[in-house]
This record gives sequence, C-alpha cells and structure tokens, in this order.
Amino acid sequence: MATIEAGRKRKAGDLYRPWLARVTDVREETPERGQTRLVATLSLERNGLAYRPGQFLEVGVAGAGEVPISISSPPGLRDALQITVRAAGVASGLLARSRPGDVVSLRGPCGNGFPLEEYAGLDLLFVAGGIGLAPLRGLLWEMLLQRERYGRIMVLHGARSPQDLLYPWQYAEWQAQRAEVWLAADRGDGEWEKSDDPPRAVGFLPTLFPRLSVDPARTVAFLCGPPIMIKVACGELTRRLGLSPARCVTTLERHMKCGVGKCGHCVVVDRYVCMDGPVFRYDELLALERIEPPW
Amino acid sequence: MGREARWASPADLDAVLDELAASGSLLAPVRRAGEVVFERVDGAAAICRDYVNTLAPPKDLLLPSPERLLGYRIADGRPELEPAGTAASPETVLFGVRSCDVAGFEYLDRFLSGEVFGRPDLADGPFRARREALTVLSVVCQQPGPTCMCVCCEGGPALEHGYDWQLTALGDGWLVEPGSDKGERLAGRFARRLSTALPEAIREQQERVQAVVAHFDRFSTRRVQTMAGSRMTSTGRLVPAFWERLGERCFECGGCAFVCPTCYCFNVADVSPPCAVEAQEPEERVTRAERFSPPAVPGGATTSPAEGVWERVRLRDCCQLPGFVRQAGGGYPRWTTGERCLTRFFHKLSWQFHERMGRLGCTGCGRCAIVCPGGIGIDVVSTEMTEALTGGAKPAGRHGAPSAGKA
Repeated sequence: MATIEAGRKRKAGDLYRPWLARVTDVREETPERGQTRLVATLSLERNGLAYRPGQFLEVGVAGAGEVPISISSPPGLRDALQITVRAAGVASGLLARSRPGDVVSLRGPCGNGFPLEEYAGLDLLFVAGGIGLAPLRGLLWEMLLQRERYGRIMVLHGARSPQDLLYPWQYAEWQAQRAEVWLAADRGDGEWEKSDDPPRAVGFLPTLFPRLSVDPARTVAFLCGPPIMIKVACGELTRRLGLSPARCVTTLERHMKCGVGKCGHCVVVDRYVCMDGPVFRYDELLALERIEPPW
Repeated sequence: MGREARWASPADLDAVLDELAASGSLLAPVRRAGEVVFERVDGAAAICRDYVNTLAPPKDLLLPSPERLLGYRIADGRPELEPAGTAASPETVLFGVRSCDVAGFEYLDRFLSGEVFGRPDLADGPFRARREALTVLSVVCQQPGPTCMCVCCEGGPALEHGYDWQLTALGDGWLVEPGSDKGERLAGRFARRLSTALPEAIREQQERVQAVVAHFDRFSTRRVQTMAGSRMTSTGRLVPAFWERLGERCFECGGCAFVCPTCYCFNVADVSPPCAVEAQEPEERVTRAERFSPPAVPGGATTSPAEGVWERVRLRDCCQLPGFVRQAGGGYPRWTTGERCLTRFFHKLSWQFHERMGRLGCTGCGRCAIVCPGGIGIDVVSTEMTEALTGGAKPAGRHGAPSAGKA
C-alpha cells in the first residue's frame, strides 16, 4: 500500500528527498500519431504546496527517474497541481501515460518564477510555441484570476499542426475573461484555417505580430517555445513591435538532474537555469549570447 | 590568522598521527603500484612522505560516486519511499593533502553549501555531513612536480585558509598552523605534543614558501594563464573557430573533470538490483537502459519498471561528455566538443565564475594536464588564449607573464 507522506516539511539539507502525490486526473491533449508524441495534462494532489507561476517541479516516476516539468496551473487553483507532459523520453513517456490513482514523487518548487508584481497595469502578450504554452498557462490563469490588475491580455499560440495546439478546450474560457486568443499552425489541414474563432493564421507564429496593434510602451511579452522560436520571436518583438528587451520575458529549458543548483547540467554561461532561471529577460539572454548562445 | 602557530618535532608529529590513527580513521598518502593514493593507515610509519600529489583528488571522500540519494520500492506499481535515514558520517582525518586540493575543498564548500546562490537552505546534505566530519591536515608542498601550477591560481604552495591544520616541514621539525576552530581544538587535544612556534620557525616557513614561489621555474614550466584566460573567456572574445580547434583535440573521455578538485557535476540515475550500488561489483551493475527495453521511437511505449527495491544514485558527470546536456526529445544544446570546451574553460577561467565562487575555478593542481589524452590541459588552453589575445606572441618570462606582445 502506498503511503502518502503528509506535508512536505523537509529537514534542512534533505533536498533530494521527494514526497509522493497521487495523480487525480489525466487529460490527453494530443494523441500519439506517427512522430507526434503523446501530450497529457495531469492533475496531482497539491497538499498545500506554495509556488509562483513559472516555477517547476522535479517529477519522479518510480523506476525511471526525475524530470523537470513546469507547473501549468495557477497558484490560485486551490486543490490541484497540473502539469502538462510530452512523452519525450523514458520518464516523461511513463508520466504521460499515467492513470488516475498512480503515484508520482515530487520535489520543489524549483526555479525563480515570474515576478508577477512587476507587471501590474501593463498589457500582456503571451507568445507560446507548441508545448511552450504549458509553463505560461499557470501565469496566464493567475493573471486572469486577477483580471482587473492588468490591461489587454493577448495569447498567441502556434504549433506545427492544428492538432498540436495545446488546451483548445480552454480558449473559450480565456476569451470569456477578455483575453484575445490568436492561433497559428505551420501547416493547415484544409478545415482548420477556414474558421476564424479564435482568429488564426497558417504560418510561423511571428507572422501574427503584424496583425496585433500593441502599445510597446505598456506591453510586456511572455515567450516560451522551442529555442529558435524564442530567438526569432524576441527579435521580431523588439525590432518590429518596438518592445524593450527588458519587457520580453522568456523561460529557458535545459536538462536538469537536481533542480536545486548542484548537479551542473543546466548551466548556461554563468547562469544556472534551475536557480537563476528558468525565467530570464531577453536583455539577460542577449548578454549571455555574447559568450554562448542560450538558444 | 590570529591563531597561534605550533611547532612539533618529527617524533611528536608521528605520535600525533599514530594516536589519530588509533582513535579513529586516518587517511594519508600511500604508494600503491607506483601511484600515490589516499588510504586508511594504521600509523605514521605507513605514510608515504616523498610524493608530489595523488593522481585523483581527495574530493571522492566528500562526493563519492556512485552515492545513494534515496531508496524506494515499487509494489503494485506504486512507489513507497524508504524512511529518511540519518546516515552519520564517521569522523575522518585527512593528512598530507596538498594546498591545491584544500582550495578545491573550499570551492566545493562554497558551491554545494548553496552560498553561491545565497540559499544556505539548499545545502547539499550528504556533502555537508561528510565535510563536517572531515578534518583536513594539509602539508605545504616544497618540491612541486613538473605539472604543478598552483602559484598561478592562489592554490599554493601554502594557503591562508581552508585547512584545519597546515603543516610545513622545517629543518628540524614541523610548523603547525591551525586554520579553524576545529583545528584549534585538535591542537588543544595534542597540547603536550605541540609547543608554541618560535618566531624563527615562522620566519623559516615563510622563507621556504617564498623560495618555492621564487624558484617555481625549477620545478615546473607549466602555467595557467589566468589573466589572458579570464579576459578572453569572460568577454566572449574567442571566436567559435578557436573552440572548434580545441574541440578537435577533445576525446570526450571526461578525465579532466574526474581528476579536477573543483568539478562537482553529477548525474542521477534510478537503479534496481542487481545494479544497486551497495555490495555490488562494478561489472554486475547494469544500467537502467539495459534493464528497460527502450522504446523504438523516443517517447514511444515503454515497459513498466520492475517491482521491487530501487535506489536513486548520483554519479560523477562531466560537461565534456556528449550526453551531459542531452534533453529528452532530442534537444542537444551543445552538440560539438568545441561548444563543450567553451563551457568547461569558461567555468574554470572566467571572471563571472570567479566573482560568483570567490576564487578561480582552477587551483593549479595540474592533473588535467596529466590525464588529458588530447593534450588540452588548462595550461595549454590558457596559453593558446594568450596567443589569441596577443596575436601569436609566445608567453615568456617567469610565471608565464606574457611578453609585451605588441608586435
């Protein structure tokens, strides 16, 4: 019988010891087909864990090891933690195929998270490529829960194909909270591009930028996605839309083993993504790029 | 230092070591098959005295590899964690460690204590337990070897801090400098074997250290070009072609990191018997990949992990190995050996890490210069950085100060 350890009170120095949590719900986001991998959103017992949007958990699968997965639910969601997992390797493959009632181990929260208080009163532009929407979803929901504190909220989401778009079941909820949702797919399927609710385009995500009218002086952009998308999109946002690099906030993804600044796998130049990140501003990344491109 | 230096006759020091060996665990350099290694000794007589340094740094005492982090069992498909153990580390005295390795201990302390991130709450528990149980009695090097470079890196031959005792062999005895409260207590325990050092003894020690520094050329011609290395790495002035040329000489063996006293990176793996760490011969260990049949397509179906006892272990890792940054799903941020060389030498030489860690990432022990089959030890690489900085002028002069290469 699995024993769920109550609470997560950790002795100082016992930072490699996880706690166990049950999977309460599993939602298949993208089915497995061909080379496209299974993506699933798991709800886990939260047990009172405090965290910030943008932080991540070291999620352990018994017999396969731990993988860093960002939390995609807002702290305002009381009783559950949600993570969205793509079946990319052994541990994430088992994780994405979890069933309700399965038990995973958790450590964290790790990383710095988004400094939410800095964005009050601003227009928000979310730019997410593929599974990159998962780390931003917690932030988006937290901001929607405090809707009156922010100006416009724009969500740009792009993926390789319409079927790879993440969280389609939530777009209506976001729109109901006065969020503008825009979609892009690298290739259409003949049907998808005929609709325009939400508005959409076939092409690379930055092709949507000219269709937005943003006020660069009062807009902050949050980007997450494949490294090349971050590089291109940050460049477009700063050059074409006139955003300041300090107002382009992105998250980096690196292989991590410990999540607590010990194992050294996630180092980029002199930054440890697990401790100094994963949230970085574009101006910080540009400084790193002089030595080693972070994308 | 504010702590009173002591003096011990050779016989008294031997008596101290004998007593330490009798009352606990004393590790000291011993010659085995032509190499010097740290081993547990029964008394002073077994200790090797004429050695430059051990081939492997003593960091394995603090960061053994593999090391068990967690135990659990899988029953009915569910994990059950083993109760948190309070593994007490046995008190150990390490005699004969060189200054470069003491500086390495300090580097590991700073990083693994979490201080580097201002997060002492994230101290590495297993490391700290071992570190607190370790008493470091360092011995000042008076005969550096041909690959020694400590004078370039504030790594010796003598140090100001980091040790519990720093011993220097003088003409007629030993100068004993306690460097910590623990060292002071140890000196108190052996008060009858130690006397207050006379000013002449302290002066003799300083003269001996200065003589080693002044005549370092006689021992070793190798140098870490710290200034050029720092200038070139910190500002990104080295073109990718520099790194690619360097990378072509990297064998991806990881030897540099395994013998480096400041390298701490580790990998984590979940293993189950017969691959469990304890009481298993290395050849009996089976990697997880062999137990599992990995999916034909990454991310494809996998078999469920076997029921039974599992362990999570950490193992030494190295940023020069190809899989170090490999991400599930195929992300490979550093594909070439050149890119990985950049990571390694940036970590060792850059001002950014110097500032974060409080010292250079190299202590000048020279081991990477010995083990690297491609001949890209830190001396060679930093010298090439000097050439890149000065436009090809060879460094010359004492301590490798670059000549005024303004040709």
